[in-house]
Amino acid sequence: MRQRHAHWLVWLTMLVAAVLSLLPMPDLISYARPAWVPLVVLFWMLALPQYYGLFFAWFSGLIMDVLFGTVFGQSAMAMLFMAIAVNQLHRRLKMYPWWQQCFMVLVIIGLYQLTVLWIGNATGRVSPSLLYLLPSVTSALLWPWLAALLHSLRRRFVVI
Amino acid sequence: MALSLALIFVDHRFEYLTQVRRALSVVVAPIQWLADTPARLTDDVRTVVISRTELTQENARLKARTLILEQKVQKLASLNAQNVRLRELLNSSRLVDEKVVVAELIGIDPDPTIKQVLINKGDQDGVYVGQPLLDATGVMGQVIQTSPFNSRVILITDSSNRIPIQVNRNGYRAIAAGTESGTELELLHVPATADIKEGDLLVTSGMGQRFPVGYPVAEVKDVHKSAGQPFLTIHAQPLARLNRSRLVMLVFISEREIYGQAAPIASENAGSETAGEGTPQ
Repeated sequence: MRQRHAHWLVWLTMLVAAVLSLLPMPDLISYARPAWVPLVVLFWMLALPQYYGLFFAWFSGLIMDVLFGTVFGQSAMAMLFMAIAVNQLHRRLKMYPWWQQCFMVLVIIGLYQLTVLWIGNATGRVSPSLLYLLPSVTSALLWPWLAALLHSLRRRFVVI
Repeated sequence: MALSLALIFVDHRFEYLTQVRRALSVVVAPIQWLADTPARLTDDVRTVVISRTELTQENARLKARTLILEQKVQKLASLNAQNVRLRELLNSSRLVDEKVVVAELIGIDPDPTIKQVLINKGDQDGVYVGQPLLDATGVMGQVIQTSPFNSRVILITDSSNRIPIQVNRNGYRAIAAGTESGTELELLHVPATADIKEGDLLVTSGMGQRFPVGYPVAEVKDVHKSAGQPFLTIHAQPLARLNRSRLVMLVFISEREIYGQAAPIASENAGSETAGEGTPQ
């Protein structure tokens, strides 16, 4: 079997995720905006762990920091924590039924959000309440659909 | 992980990483541009499908408005001259020329608790950190980060922003802070005896050397006095349309303010000398 590198698909999905996370939305919706970039990173780390690992996550976190104008390393650090968790769990995660996967996504994105929150507070960004964790819930609810979509894309363009 | 910790520390405390951030901002600028595309497209579509009658109506309206504004400007010119003469009489040194450049909003911070926006002018256009930003009705905020093609602006309602203001009616100075709701301002540490009423216009006071004097900031919405507290609780509604303006103005304060310190005194001295020569004769 010849190995195909259609990895532009990975970068394309990352780009779409970044755009989705920047789109201007009304306040109410943006409180619940799913963490698009971490979700997509999570998917590719599960799908292709041999290519996309800690450095990929860290680097995309760094890009997010520039996009959002946060302190350098804030999202990068959070992504790194998330990536370490995924790295430990990815064999088990793939075996789980979808609802259990959702639950794990809730925990993992929650971990990501909490790290961002901690670093943000330490560097002087005020964040009001537990509303901050709402994105992890919406991310978890979104996960099955997103995973299905990305899986079909991956099969179609044969990203191995 | 140690690297990211180090990055966080260095970026928070020092300014070494500004160049790196600028370089990366250029790389991510297309993503920001893409995220802005839907808003821009709807604008474009609206201009294409707008009907001819609507355009004529709008044109008529704008013409009428221009006429009114021109009339005001006529008056302003003479008032300005009068003001300068009076200030010279008072030996005052404030002569500030302000120039505005129109910029366009290209993005807002996706985090609803943080009131920051991106504009499409960067340090290639001379934008600098600390520069004030206005819209047609009032002060919007100040620039906090620049990159070659765009810059990041913190709005006056962000909870970490403070703006020095004064009450237009009596010149009472105070500091307005953004609140966590992100939609209104709160005046800090105003003693219970201060003369501030509901409906007062708050303008920039020019203290703090960031914002030029006299631009409208907000209108006092409610003044609450509670007996046990040493300070009044005052909320104000920003006049700038922070959520709606797409066209904004960057204020360039020209150098005259600095030279202006010396110039009127010199002319004053010259005046007194001639007067002094005049009297003995």
